[in-house]
Amino acid sequence: MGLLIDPKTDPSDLELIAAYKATKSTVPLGELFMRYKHLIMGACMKFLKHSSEAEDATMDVYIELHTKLLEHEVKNFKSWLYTLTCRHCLMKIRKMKGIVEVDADDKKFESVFMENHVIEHLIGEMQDETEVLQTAIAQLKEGQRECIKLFFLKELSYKEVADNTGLDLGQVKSHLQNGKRNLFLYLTEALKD
Amino acid sequence: MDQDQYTVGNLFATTTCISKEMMLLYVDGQLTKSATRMVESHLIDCEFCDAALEGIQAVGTKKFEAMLETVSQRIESQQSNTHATEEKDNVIEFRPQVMPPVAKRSTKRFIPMMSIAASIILLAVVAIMFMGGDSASGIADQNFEKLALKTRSIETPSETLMQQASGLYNQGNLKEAAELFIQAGTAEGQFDAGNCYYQLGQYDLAEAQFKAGKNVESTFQEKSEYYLALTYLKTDRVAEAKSILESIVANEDNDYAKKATATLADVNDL
Repeated sequence: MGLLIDPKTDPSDLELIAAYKATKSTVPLGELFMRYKHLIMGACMKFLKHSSEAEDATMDVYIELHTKLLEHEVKNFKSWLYTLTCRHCLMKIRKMKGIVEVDADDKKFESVFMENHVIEHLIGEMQDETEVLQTAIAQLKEGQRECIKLFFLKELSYKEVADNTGLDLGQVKSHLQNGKRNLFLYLTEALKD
Repeated sequence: MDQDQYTVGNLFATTTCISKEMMLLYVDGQLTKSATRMVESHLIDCEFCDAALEGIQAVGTKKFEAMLETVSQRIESQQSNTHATEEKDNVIEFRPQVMPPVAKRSTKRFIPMMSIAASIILLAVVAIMFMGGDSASGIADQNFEKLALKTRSIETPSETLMQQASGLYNQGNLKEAAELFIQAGTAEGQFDAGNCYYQLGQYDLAEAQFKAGKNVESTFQEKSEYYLALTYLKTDRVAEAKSILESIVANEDNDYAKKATATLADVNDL
């Protein structure tokens, strides 16, 4: 049983894309899609809230891939695919609701991926800068700081963090995601200085 | 608290996307503590996996697997058509004398041209036979043989139309694909046309195709029946959809019994 998806596995995502672009064959495209199918379907289910709509949207994304991959130069397939999936769901929601104008809530569909190469660079450069890290952590909001401490230092699970803090699971996850992102932004700025 | 234990390395350790199997085990609470930590560490970093996980939690693992299966079958069906097209394209490439590089040419124009050519050859052969004589008969036999050879090498119209339709489908041109699928006149084409209309939101046309497919004995009969139920759901004809789904569920031999059960549960939740 494979437990993780490694986009660098053989063949890599980018190799499959190159093979599809060269041959237009659905074989590499299908392999690529199957690798991420559960993520696409799960995300569609989250946004569309209905199983039949999520199934249709997943099929639509598969069909869109045929043309979009030929039109775009994709460097990070996973983040590109997430954006494509989110946009498709957004269009579908607008169509269902008959909305034409831009929704202010579009921002929730924007993907903010912390690219691995930036993180690797950060780890390399800041590994010994513990004071900078302490300063960054001290600047976090209390809820974020507490969740970061319990999750990363105490190595508690989401549920255990929730039990310890009295927050619900959604709040714990949100504090961890926002806290880590804020730390990342702070350290990236510090690295520039 | 042990503030000095924080390092950039342990806060920003690179994590990897989670497979379907691991996600399902996580949602069902069947992972070990260390595996749970690995998943949760990744969810902090990856919006895609996080969103997917929320979706799976919303629908439940069993239903989610049934949904994935439905999509896989739809894609496999589409891919088998496309593979056939790809293989046949290769054959054409190595037989330029039979079909010069016209794979991109419109089938609609190609077939009438071949029919005209065949008619002319037939007329010529009949004329030679009518003239009589051994040599004329010999030429006629040779011409018949050549014609027969050519006819055997040319794909039947339905195969060509299915190829053409699959190509259009893959390009996202569902409307024209549906028309060609219907022209192909096969049970598979009928189902594929219904699928195109379903995706286009033209449910009345989809219904007609699936209804026809449901009543003709073929390997697409059960599939058409299930998709007819989905079409009814799209048009708020819940009672009719439920009736079909229940009859599918009642038949254990029906390949769509599992999916119908999941869909029925979904309908009952509405």
